[in-house]
Parts: sequence; C-alpha cells; structure tokens
Amino acid sequence: MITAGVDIGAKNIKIVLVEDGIIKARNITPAGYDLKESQEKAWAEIENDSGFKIGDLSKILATGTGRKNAINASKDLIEVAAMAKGAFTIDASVRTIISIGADHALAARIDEEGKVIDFTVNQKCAAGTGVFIEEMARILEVSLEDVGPLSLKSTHALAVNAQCVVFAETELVSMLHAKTPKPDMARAIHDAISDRIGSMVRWISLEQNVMLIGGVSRNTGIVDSLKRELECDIIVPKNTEFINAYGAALVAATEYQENKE
Amino acid sequence: MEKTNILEHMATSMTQIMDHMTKKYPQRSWMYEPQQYYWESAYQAKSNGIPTIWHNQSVPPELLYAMGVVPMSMDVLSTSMASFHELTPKYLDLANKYVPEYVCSVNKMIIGLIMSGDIPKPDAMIYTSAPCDSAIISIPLVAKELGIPHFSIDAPFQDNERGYQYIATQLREALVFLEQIAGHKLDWSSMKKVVEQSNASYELFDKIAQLRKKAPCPLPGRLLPMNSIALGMSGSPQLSNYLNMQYEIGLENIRKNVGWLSDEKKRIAWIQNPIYFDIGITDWLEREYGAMVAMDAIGFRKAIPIDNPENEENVFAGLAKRSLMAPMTHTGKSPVEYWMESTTEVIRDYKCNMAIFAGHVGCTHYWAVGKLIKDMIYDKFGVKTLVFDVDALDPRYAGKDVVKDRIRDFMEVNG
Repeated sequence: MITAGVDIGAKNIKIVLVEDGIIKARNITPAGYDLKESQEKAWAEIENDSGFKIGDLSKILATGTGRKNAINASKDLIEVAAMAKGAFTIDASVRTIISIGADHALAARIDEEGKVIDFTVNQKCAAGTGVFIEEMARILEVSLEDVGPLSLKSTHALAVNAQCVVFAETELVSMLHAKTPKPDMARAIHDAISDRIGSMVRWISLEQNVMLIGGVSRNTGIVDSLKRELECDIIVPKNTEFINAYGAALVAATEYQENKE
Repeated sequence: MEKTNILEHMATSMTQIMDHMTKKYPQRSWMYEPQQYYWESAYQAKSNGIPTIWHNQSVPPELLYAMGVVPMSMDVLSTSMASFHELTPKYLDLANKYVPEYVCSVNKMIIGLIMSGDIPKPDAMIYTSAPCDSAIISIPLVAKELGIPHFSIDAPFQDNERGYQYIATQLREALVFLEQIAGHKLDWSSMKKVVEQSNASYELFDKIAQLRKKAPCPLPGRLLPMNSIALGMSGSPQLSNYLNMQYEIGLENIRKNVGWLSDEKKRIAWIQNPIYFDIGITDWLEREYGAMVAMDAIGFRKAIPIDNPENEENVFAGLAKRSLMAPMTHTGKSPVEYWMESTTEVIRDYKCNMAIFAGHVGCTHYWAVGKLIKDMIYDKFGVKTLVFDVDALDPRYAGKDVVKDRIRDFMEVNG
C-alpha cells in the first residue's frame, strides 16, 4: 500500500509518497500562479522520478492552505493534524511543533500520543512568516540563503520596533542609511520574527521538546534566534519542508487501512 | 454622505422582521417583540414629547423607566446595528477618523453615529466607568460632542458590599439629575412597579438558566445573545413577557423530554462576546455539528431580586448590585477571578465539553486574560477552547465564512 500526502502551501507544493511509514519519494514544486497547472507538473515530476503512478496510490490526502484546491486528493486534512502526525512520527519526544511557512505560522502542542492539545495560527500578519524574511533580505541586498548565516555574525543586538512588515521596512532603511552593520540588522529581523513566534508558542504553552518545520527552518538565523527566544533547543528534522505532506500521507494510510477493515 | 435616520431605520426594520416572522414563523415571532417595542419607543420619543436618555450597560434601565423617560442603551444600539452590514462600515469608518482604530467597535459605532448626524440627540446621558477602558475613553467624548447634560457614575474595581454602597449613593445622585432633566420628581409607585417587573425578569433569567442546564438543552443558542436586550429593557413588561415565553417553551420541551436539538452532540460554553453581526452562527453550529451553545459566561443568568420595593434603600442597594453584576461589567471590569468563577460555573453546571472564545478585537480586557481562562478550562475540566479573533460588530475583519472556517478547523482537529 502506498499513500500520498500533498501539502499545498502559498509558495510551494510538496508531495510525499509513503509505504509502511517510509518516504519512498518526494517532490517540491513552486505553487506559482496557476495552482492546477503547478500541481499537474508536481505530480508528473514525482511519477517520473519515483516510477509510481497516481493510479498505484491507495489514498491521497491534501493539506496546507491550498488544500481545498487539490487535484487528485480524495480528501483534505487540516494542516495542524498533518503536522502533528508527521512530527510525532519522526520524533515521539516532540511536544511543541512550530511551522513557519511563506504566508503563515502555526504552533501546536501535542500530548504523549501525538494528539493536538492546543494550536494557534498566525494568518493575518506577515511579520511572523517567510514573506517577512524575504522582504527584509531584499532590503539588505542579500539572498534568502545568506540572510540567516549573516545574522549569526552579529556582534550587537538591536531591536526592530515595528510590529508590522510595512513599518519594519522603513525602520531597516533608516538603519541602512545610518550605516548599521548588516549582520546586526539581519539578527534584529530574525529576533523580531522569533518574538512573534514566541508569543504564539507561549499562548499554547511551551512544552519540550520543540520541533521547527517548514522551509524557514533551513534558516540557521531563525533557529538560533528561536533558541534564544524560547530558551531551549530546537529540533529541525531532515525533510523539514515535507513534514506536513508526510503526516498527511501517514493519515491517508491509517484511513485506508481502517476502511478496509 | 447619505443621511439615514437610524432610529427610523431600526424601528422600520423591526416591524418588517415582525411581519415576516408573523407570516412565516409565527411560533417564533415572540422572540422579536421586545425589540420592536424598544425601537418604536425610541423612534417616537421626540414626537411623543418624552425625553430620551442614553445610558451604557451597567446603568440600570429601571431608573429610567421609573422616571417615565425613554432609555436608549448605547450597547444595545451598537450591537443591534451590527446586523445591518450595509450600515456598519459607514459609522465605524467615520469613527476611525476621530479615535484610534483599536477602540472597541461597540463604542466606535456610537461615535460614528454622532459624527454622522444620523441619530437624534438625546436629552441627556448617564453612564458608568464600566466595563472597560474603551468605554471610559469613548463615552465622555460622546457626551462632550453632543453638548448635552451628562452624569457619570464611577464603578469600583471590586464587586462587594462596599462597592454596592458606593454605586447606590451615586444612583441616588443620578436620580436627582434625571428629575431635573425630566422636569418632575420620581413617583415611587412607578419605581415599585418597575422593580416588580424587573424582579420578574431576573427570576425568569434564573429559571431559564436552570432549564438550560438540562441535556439536551430545551432552548436554542441564539436566545443567549438576544437576551442582551435586557441591558436596555430591564423593568419593562415587554422583557418579562419575552422571557416568560422563553421559559414556557423550555419547560414544555423538558416536560415532553425533548431537546431543541434531536441529537445534541456537543455543549458549548460561549465565554466571550457574541458575534453580533451574525447571531445565526449558533443556528449553524446546531445544524452542522449538533453543537448547542448551552450558556454564555458573560450573559444574564442569575436572579438578583430586590426585596420589598417600597423600601427606597433596598431598591438603590439592589439596583447597585445589578449595575455591578451586569453582563460584561462583572467579568470584564473586575479582577479576572470573577470571569474565572463565571466560566467555571458554566462549564461545570452546564456540562460543556467545548468552549468558544470569540475574541472581539477591541476588547483588551478579555484578551489580556484569555490565556489564563483557556488554560484554566483545560487544566480543570480537560475542555478545549477554540480561540479566534473577530470584530463582533464588523464582518470586514473576519466575516462569517472565516468564523465558520475557524470552527471547522477546531472541530476537525478535536473531533
């Protein structure tokens, strides 16, 4: 039995094929403007790379912000459920999961059985999301890949006071003109995001161990900043972008099995 | 900007609603009778030569009814207008030019109304410094802008005997103020009649609250936000009649051993603001999930009788207690322990297995302690709370589809 999970995010579509709990194939494709077209492309790629066809799959579940627009999926699954399943399966010691995506952030607390106890979503404000980092990196004239390592070179903590991305941009431009060292500015940006994420985590009550997932978790600056903000270690799993899709595929497997029985 | 006579609009709309209900759902038309009376009285007050007195939620309307004036609760006005989605942007956006956006929209609606000139000036205002900072900022501004006589009552932080006495003293002073506005002294026989009427209402609130403890609940969830009309109508026979109908229907359902829902799957404690722009959300919860809002944590549910209404001291002491125990005033103004107690009672006594904190964005008081409440509910009862932000009066912030999505997500995760 092979099942699939599709995580349709604001920026990327992630597909994971799973057999007996093991990832057999995965694909990440930009979501682009035409979601249907992008999904068709993603499916074509994974079929090509893995040798599996959609028809071979026992069940497909979609998750993520675009889950209602999934093609091929038989059902959709709320992101927090997929996230909890995926994260807990990888590491059963995890109790707090943070997902920072392109356009929203999610924090959830789970129990010793992996069930969600509480969760919160930041959907209205860009200041705690990947978009914020992208925008700030653009102002600093560094790439998204470099802005994290740049922040680790900071020697002086600064505060970005503005809560809003729009005003933070103004603040950073002022700092630039004041010849503020870029590493310090980069660190300030990451600390501003962590502050926002920290509020979300405290709302649901932090419980260790803490896992950070999603594309933004590849940013070493965010990981460092979050560790300081939450005063604990942060686990970043391998395949971090695929955890939600993985979780959806696992749930698909369970549901398929239950229906069979 | 197009002019609208808001009172005419409210009165006309309620008449239309009543006509519609009488034709299509006659068994439910009683639900709207108090409102029809309320808006018609407000609209006709000037032409009838009766002074209109604006007040806020913890000023007992009994005082105003006893004086024979027409009470207009600013809270009832704002929250009732929220149903008219085509109107609310006009007043809220206008208010945003005068006060910060983060001021509560219950207050902004009034500010916008005043600035637009779409509502006739009242003859006077009486208000308390409750339940919140937004009210304290906004209401004196409204009074100043209107340029009318106004009387403010200072609400203490604690609700206890000392607090009740403090309010009682101020209510006596407020009466003197009212007598000057109305141009006549209070006839105590009117006060007695009004207090007897409001005693009946409060007793009915208690009885209805007891009925709602039954599982399945014999009455619909939508009546809880609708009951907030009592903020402006306590002491009126129309309110007592409405509550009596509610009680009789609930009692009959219990006698027949039927619930409002044939298959009640969840019982919800609604612990923060109702969503005034869509009170039908409770109907949707019932249809979609078999989920009944059994009780709200900040509404009317306790009897606060005033014994011996011939006795002046009893009456003022009783009205003072009602003032401080008013919905939202009691739980929003005061130490968080009051809200915690109220929420604990609701979850426990109404056997709720879910809570909803529909966090009104202007409500800094409740949001400040939202986590305390949410965590307490889980730690004490193992009950999870759905928390989301919404503007209770403005669907542009998060409309009913967004609210439904939040509920769906919560239900999906928690089963």
